[in-house]
Amino acid sequence: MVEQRYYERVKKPEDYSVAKAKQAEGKHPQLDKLKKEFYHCSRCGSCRDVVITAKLGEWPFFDPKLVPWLGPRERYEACPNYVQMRWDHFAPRGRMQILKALVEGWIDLSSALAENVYTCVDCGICETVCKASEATFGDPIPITTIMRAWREEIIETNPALLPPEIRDFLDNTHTYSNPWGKAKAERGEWADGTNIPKYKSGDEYLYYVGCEGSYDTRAQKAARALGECFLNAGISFGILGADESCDGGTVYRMGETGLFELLAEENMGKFKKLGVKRVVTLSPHSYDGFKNYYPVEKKEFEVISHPQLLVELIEKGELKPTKAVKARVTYSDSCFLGRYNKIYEEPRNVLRAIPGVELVEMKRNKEISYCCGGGAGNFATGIVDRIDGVNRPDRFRVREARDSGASILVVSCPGCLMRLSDAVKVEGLEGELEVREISEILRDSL
Amino acid sequence: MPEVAIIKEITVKLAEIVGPNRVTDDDAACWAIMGGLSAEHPPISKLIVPPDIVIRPQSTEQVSQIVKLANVYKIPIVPAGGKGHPTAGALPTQGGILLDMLDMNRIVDIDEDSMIVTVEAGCFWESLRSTLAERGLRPGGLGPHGPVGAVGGGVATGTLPVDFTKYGFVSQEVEGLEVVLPLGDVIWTGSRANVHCNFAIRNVNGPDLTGVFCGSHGALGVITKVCLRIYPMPKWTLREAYAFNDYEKGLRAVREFQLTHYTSDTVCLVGQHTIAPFAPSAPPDTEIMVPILLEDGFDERLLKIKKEVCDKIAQKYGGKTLGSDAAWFVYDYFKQCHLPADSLGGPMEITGLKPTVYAAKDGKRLLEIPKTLESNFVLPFKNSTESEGMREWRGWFRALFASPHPNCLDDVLFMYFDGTDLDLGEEMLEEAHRIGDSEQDRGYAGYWIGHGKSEGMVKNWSQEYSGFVKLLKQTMDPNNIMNPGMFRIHY
Repeated sequence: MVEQRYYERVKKPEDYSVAKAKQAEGKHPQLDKLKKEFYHCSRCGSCRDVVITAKLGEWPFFDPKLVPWLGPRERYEACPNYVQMRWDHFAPRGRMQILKALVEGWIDLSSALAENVYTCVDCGICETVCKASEATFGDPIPITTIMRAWREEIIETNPALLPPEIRDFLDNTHTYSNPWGKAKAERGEWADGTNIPKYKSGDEYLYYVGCEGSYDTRAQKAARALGECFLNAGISFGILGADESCDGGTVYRMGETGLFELLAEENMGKFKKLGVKRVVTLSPHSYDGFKNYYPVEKKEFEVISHPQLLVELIEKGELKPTKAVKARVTYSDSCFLGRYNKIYEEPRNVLRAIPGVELVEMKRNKEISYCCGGGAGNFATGIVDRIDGVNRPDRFRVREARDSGASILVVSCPGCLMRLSDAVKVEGLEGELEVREISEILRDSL
Repeated sequence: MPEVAIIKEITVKLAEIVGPNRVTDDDAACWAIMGGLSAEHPPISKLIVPPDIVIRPQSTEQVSQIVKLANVYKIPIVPAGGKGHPTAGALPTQGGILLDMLDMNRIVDIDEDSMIVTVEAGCFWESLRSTLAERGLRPGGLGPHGPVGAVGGGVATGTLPVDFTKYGFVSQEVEGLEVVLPLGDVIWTGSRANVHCNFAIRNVNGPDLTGVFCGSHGALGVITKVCLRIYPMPKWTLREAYAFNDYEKGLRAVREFQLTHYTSDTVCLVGQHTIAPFAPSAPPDTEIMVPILLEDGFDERLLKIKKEVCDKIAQKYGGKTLGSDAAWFVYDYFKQCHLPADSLGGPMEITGLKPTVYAAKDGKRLLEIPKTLESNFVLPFKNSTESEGMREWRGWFRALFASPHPNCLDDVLFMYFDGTDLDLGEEMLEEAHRIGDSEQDRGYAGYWIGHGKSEGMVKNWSQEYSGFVKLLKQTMDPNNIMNPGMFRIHY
């Protein structure tokens, strides 16, 4: 039994004064830049529990557009981390509170916080469903930008706090240009035994494969399938093979700006020397990196994602999917094609062009699609998987795919392919659900 | 024992009750859970501190054990729902355990014979609404605005729900509660106090003890289950908005709307600052704009008749019809997303319920913007829609919400400021407290009390009433562990 009344000698409001908070100003330069943004968070919780007006037109009594708050609505827990953890400090609105506590000096950066911020899979659903824009006639809170700045802050001010997996990812990428520390010389081996050519000056497209497609055995199959589609279409293209370097898109999202700049310089120099004008990517993370983070003033090439090019080739008649693939399929949007770059219809149109394919949607699709959990380096670090087995994002997603009634779960990202293929095994869905990259299913119908 | 060691010891013992993954004393977790909607937040608030421990129970039995353990250590315990309270109903003033009820979120039973739904306290209003809607049903009031309000929190903090013009306070819809008392005993109120009874009726079995816990802000126990009335879903709805160029006449029209009991929700926007962005079509001399929402579940003709009656009332007081779109914007804003806006950066709502819109004490009109606000909060609401949003905005808008009773309106003043300006935030919060207190001093009855408005309310209580409430609290909670500091009761 504790004799003294516990609460009489602990926290008091005067311990948390404005004057004290001001003393902490300037301690977190990267976070300070975005202070207005995270202070703007009204803590409504929409990022944690999103409400979607559902069943438009199906409501029997009245038009739900008229009184949408009265009709039946779908409610989802939006943030994959929150679904796993069910703690506010793993949900965006809680993280915005932590940031305030950090810049006001009530808590310090710690290894636990560093792990927390790298547990975020950078999927961006929080930003998509943020209600701040509707309520205040402004923009949503740029949560993904804030999270990146937070990671950058840790790397710049206290890298010792980084989880070892993150340190290894960044060190390996710096030394070997891939997160797994595999030999650079092996980077092009995935294409051995295929007719996929090396890029030569004058080729229309540089087929940029990326780290996953180059090294992961499952993703390599997708890389080969996409190359075969290009060969079938007869376009002039080539790969860099062992000369390819990491694009740095994920490195940027992980907050390692310096390393990203090095990689960007290296790639832009290489592309310029080779006269590359158009780059087609296998990985949405590469696409996002090239498109959105490479400096516009120095970038002398265009970038296109592979679903965009595939659908273009189909529309031009250069790719003719004729063999039926009789299957009910569902498509899982990649966060970095979908939410980050608004490419929703192109991959679906590729699937629609394949005879025999019946495309069904999962409950969560397009803007509110659920992440596989691979973002912010998690496809390699797996920090997100430390937390919880059953509700790991990839396992959650394959269960959603199963519930859609599909027998094939189609993805357009090698990271999604790796994680969701693994999740199918863990969930015991082998034989019931197959995960395939969009290029693979298209290649089979050519 | 050093406080850190005590916290660790308590955390370990709590883990034995709920499991290790459902309790934490992590600093970041304790700050993150403070992410409610209230502007009462350190450092600008001088009332609130973060908890020491956060715990997520899954059953009434677990809550009971947690409360019993808290009594052993005499550690404060604050139950929290969605944490959407605008004036800090569910935030600690002395640290301690924050009881996050959101994992107790089941809809236990929907009894369509008795038209009663029983839910666990952490059930979101949105989930309840949606589940009932699938069956063509609805709760009376639709809960608070926004997606994260929980039923238990709404009851415990005396919330005015959406559609309250017709259905009243959340507590008016409650037919029974399951409560864990401050010493850990579990009771049912109302008919279910009879251990053989399996249906919920409130005003039976002697005194209405359900009411003791409604609005108690967790100071008298932890609400774990709630029985609410449910209704058939309306099949037809109509909306309309009226503009009045005379404030007094507008309010008289509102009073008559209330008398009809036809309108399910009536939000009156006051002053050009507030009206213009919602209703550009309103004449420039509009002093008060009154959108109404009508619904009927049985015959569409009745709805048209109700609309004609309302039109006549408006005409009688010189009201001009603005059409449904103007009403639509107001309702869309207030019902779907006004909640996020409320606490932009660190704003504040000040609310009071009045027997009339005039102060009982001095007879003066309330709805003037205090001069002190004008100096710091200079921009009208309209500006927010014209520039880049409200991110750097300092401003206010004012509205009235019509209650079911014709002599009662709820007055709400929303204040916004750039949250990074801590000095201004502190100043604003003090101003909000001052306005709230002065409203109470003038005879208004405050609701949505929270910690933020508790002082103004309590100092105007009669000595006898204060003594009674304190006696009640002391008797029920001898260790003063349940949301201590609420109602400024110290012992």
